[in-house]
Amino acid sequence: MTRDAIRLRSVTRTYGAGDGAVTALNDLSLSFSEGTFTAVMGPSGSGKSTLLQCAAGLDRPTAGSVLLGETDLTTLNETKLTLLRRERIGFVFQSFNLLPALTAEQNVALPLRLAGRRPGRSEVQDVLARVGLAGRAKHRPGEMSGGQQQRVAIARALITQPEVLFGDEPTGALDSTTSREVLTMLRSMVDEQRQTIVMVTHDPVAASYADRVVFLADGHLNGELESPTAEAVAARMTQMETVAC
Amino acid sequence: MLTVTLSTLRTRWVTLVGTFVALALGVALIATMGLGLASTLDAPEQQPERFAGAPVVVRGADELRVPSPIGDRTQPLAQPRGVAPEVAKALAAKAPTVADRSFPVRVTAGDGDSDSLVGHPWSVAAFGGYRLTAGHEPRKPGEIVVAGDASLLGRAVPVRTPAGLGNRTVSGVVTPAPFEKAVFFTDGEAAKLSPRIDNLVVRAAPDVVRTVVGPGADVQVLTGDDRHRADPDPHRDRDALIAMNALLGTAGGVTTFVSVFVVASTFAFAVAQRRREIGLMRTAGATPRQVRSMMFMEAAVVGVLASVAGCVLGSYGAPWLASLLVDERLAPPWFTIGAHTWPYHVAFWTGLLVALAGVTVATVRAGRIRPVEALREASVDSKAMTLGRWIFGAGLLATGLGMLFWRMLADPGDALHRKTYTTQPMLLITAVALLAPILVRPLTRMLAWLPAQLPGATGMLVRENAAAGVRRTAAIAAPVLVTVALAGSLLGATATINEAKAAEIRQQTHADLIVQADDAAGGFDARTVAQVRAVPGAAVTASATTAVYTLEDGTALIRSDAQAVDPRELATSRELPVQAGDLADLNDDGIVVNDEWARRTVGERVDVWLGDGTKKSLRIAAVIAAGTGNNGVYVTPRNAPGVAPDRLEVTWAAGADATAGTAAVRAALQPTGAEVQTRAEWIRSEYPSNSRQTRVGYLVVLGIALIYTGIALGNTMVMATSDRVRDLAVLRLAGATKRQILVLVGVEALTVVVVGAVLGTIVTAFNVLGIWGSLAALSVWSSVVLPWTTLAQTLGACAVVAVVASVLPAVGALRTRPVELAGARE
Repeated sequence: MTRDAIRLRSVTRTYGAGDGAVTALNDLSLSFSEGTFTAVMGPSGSGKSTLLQCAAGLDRPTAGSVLLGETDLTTLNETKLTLLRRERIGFVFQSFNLLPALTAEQNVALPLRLAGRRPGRSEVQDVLARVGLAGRAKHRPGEMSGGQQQRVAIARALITQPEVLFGDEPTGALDSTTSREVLTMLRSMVDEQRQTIVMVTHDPVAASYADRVVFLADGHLNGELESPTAEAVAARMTQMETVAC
Repeated sequence: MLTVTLSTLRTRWVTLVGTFVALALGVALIATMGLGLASTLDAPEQQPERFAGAPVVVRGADELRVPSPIGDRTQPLAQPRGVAPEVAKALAAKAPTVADRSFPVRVTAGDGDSDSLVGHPWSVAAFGGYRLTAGHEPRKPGEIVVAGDASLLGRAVPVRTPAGLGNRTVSGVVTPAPFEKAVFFTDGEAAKLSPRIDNLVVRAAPDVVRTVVGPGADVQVLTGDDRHRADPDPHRDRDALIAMNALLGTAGGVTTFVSVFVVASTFAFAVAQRRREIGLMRTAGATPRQVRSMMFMEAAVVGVLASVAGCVLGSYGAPWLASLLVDERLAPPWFTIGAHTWPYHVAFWTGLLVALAGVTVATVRAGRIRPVEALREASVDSKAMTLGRWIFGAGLLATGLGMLFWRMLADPGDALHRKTYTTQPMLLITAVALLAPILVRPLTRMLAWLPAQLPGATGMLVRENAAAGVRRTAAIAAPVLVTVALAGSLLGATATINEAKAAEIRQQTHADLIVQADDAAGGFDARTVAQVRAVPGAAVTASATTAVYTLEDGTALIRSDAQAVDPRELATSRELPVQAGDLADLNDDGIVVNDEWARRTVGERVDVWLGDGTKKSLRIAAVIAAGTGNNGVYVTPRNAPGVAPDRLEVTWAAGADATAGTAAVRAALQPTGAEVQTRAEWIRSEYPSNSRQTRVGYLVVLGIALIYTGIALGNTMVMATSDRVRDLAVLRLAGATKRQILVLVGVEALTVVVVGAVLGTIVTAFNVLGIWGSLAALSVWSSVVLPWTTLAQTLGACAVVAVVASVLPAVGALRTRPVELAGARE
């Protein structure tokens, strides 16, 4: 087995306080190996988005620790965490979160520029080519389709060559054809460049592109599947939802 | 997600508060200025003072009355006439009368200070409420009664009268009066010193007096409150309000413009800001009409509430303004805000209508937003210029520039009037603000070109955000544009005009010494003038201030300030811009007019009324350029009967001993108390900007308007920044630190301020160049003066306001975790 890219140790995340407190993650331990593609699934409110946000350093666990390589994210202050995210973590959202005022090229180059570095022209072109958008560098988000915008978002997440790429329902806003293209692209990144990817999804077809699926329920780990098929995932989900009811 | 709902609600809340604040303050300003203006329209009726105890006062004519096809036209006479001796005799035959005379007197008190006083016969003292507090009335010609200072009783003091300097004994002391500083002589002595009867108090019924005087005679019979017209300064209160009326009129015009401008742009911006929300409503099935009516209803509710709040604020603001004006001595001490209702109506309806109009224009556009646009990520303004903006912007620009050039060619003098140069900038400001979206993109690209070349993200983001959010940039730049353009244009116009006036005075004044008599002293007596003329080597020009009246177009009775001077003396001390004819041709049958007169052909005869109302036909000897308006009319002393010279100009002949001569002139004028000034001192004292009233007045006009635009700028900035919460969250997710975000927000704000400043400076340049062109057309060549210090201060203040108002909400926005905001699909 290879090294873990990211490791969660007894992570608990509670929102609110007192009687109204909601526990999104409950003493969860989980790790993701380098160069693997993991899908996180679970019914609504199972804590999968919270898991992703805690793992990516966008949110802080109430208890427990998150290790990116040898770095414990929970010990970093806000600025250090931002810098770490900028350099070592990529994140793609369901909504593409591109800056409308910037062109595709400028959006992609943004993280490097924020780090105070002028990106080489070929550097940006290469990443855009990798997501299949070589010809659309000068277009603004408003002039692109959803799939194209999401690919710009992925290119932006990849420009810093992050150790882990997180996706929060990255295909949630896309139609099935476009979804398939994006997922195939993600898959090939894992196969060809040994990119580590962690993706939250509720779509069994999307999950079937992963090496492994972990299931979450009520903030707990609820089993996993290796080399999943869409049918197996769907069956498992149906079973979970029945139990939940 | 509750947080999302709350965060969008918060955005809307900021927008609502933003529009409310802009409108309420705008309405408050209009109401305040309106109330102030209304209160200057009704001066309290002045009560009789000097003749409060007199039954009937007969007074010589003090206004010129000329019949015209549209009724009698009147103008106050420069030299009011006295009561004719035969009228006085006829009245004295019927009833007891008391003759009143007024003449300038200087009394040197014990401490050596001399005071300008007015002399009267003792018999009229009782009518003005004077009471003896010590001593007795003057019984001998050498005795006088003074007001106030009891220590002088029984002493002989030097007194200068029209008859000359001599010692007189203080026989009595009376209580001082607030309306004049009087000194009383015996009736006989007063008649000797000033033979003319100014007023005649008659102890008889008014009807009797009127019968004796007869209709149409050259006297007025004053009874009741009318008796105040015989007082020393009958229009004192009204005159004090005329200046205030002009000041508040200008202030009202400027603030109304600023308010309308700011309110309209704030409401339009608020609608533009809600593009996404409108798109979502359209997606949910709202028709364009429903969207429009919802926005309209909202604006109506906010409009009514804010306008009411504004009126309430205005009712507190107006008394504050009144006390500020009194404190700054711009208004008389008794000035207060009266109970007027029209200013509230004007303010309320203006506010409401402008708010609704701003929203209507914006919603026509908003209604056209297609539902899909809401689903797009984009908030890039693809088409910021609308047809309306093009039409109105281009139209106003053409009108503004057209008027500027037309005025230069056709009526250059008009450009120097306050009404013109305060309204001219408004046209250009509005035009540039409407056209701003086209100018914003190239401007920001240019401004941010250099920083965008740096490796960091800030430069690039500033450039792209400002250029992409054209409408937002234009909306924020608008208050800066108004602020800079108004401050620059108004102050630049006055400074340039003042500079021109000073240049004109410098150019025309050739005398080495200039002495101007105090208004109260009533000119120099013949003996003093003769003494000055006798100084060796001195060429003296003695001029008297008077006026001539002409009836233009058969209906307009025009008063022109005139100087009575000997033409032979004129050439030695002054260089006048003669356009035609020769000043030396001026004689007792002639007049020198300026080129503003309807008749200005040399050799032609014009019918004029002289300062005392005498009608005369005079031949035009020469025409001079009116210049900035200082160049009046010239006549000979014969045509200004009874007026003493009030200005002496001394020019030294070549080789004369100027030092000894100056000392001699000073010695001759010492008893009159008039100040002898050198040419340089005189030019400095005449420089118009020295007027404190003008300066403070402009600060009031501009200051209030500028404070409002400052608030509007902060307001728009807060609205705009809260609109960008999501953008900022996305940036943070892309790896920007909090510091980077705050720097970005601050630099963006500064960039927009600079864009506004550049636009404002362009407007200023056009306005001031227009003034300069008009001055050139009036053949006054002087430099363009721009108030750089004020502009820099204004700009600095704008920059501080903009940065604070954008960074503070950004700090607030950064408290929320970025995922919550960015994940939100608004």
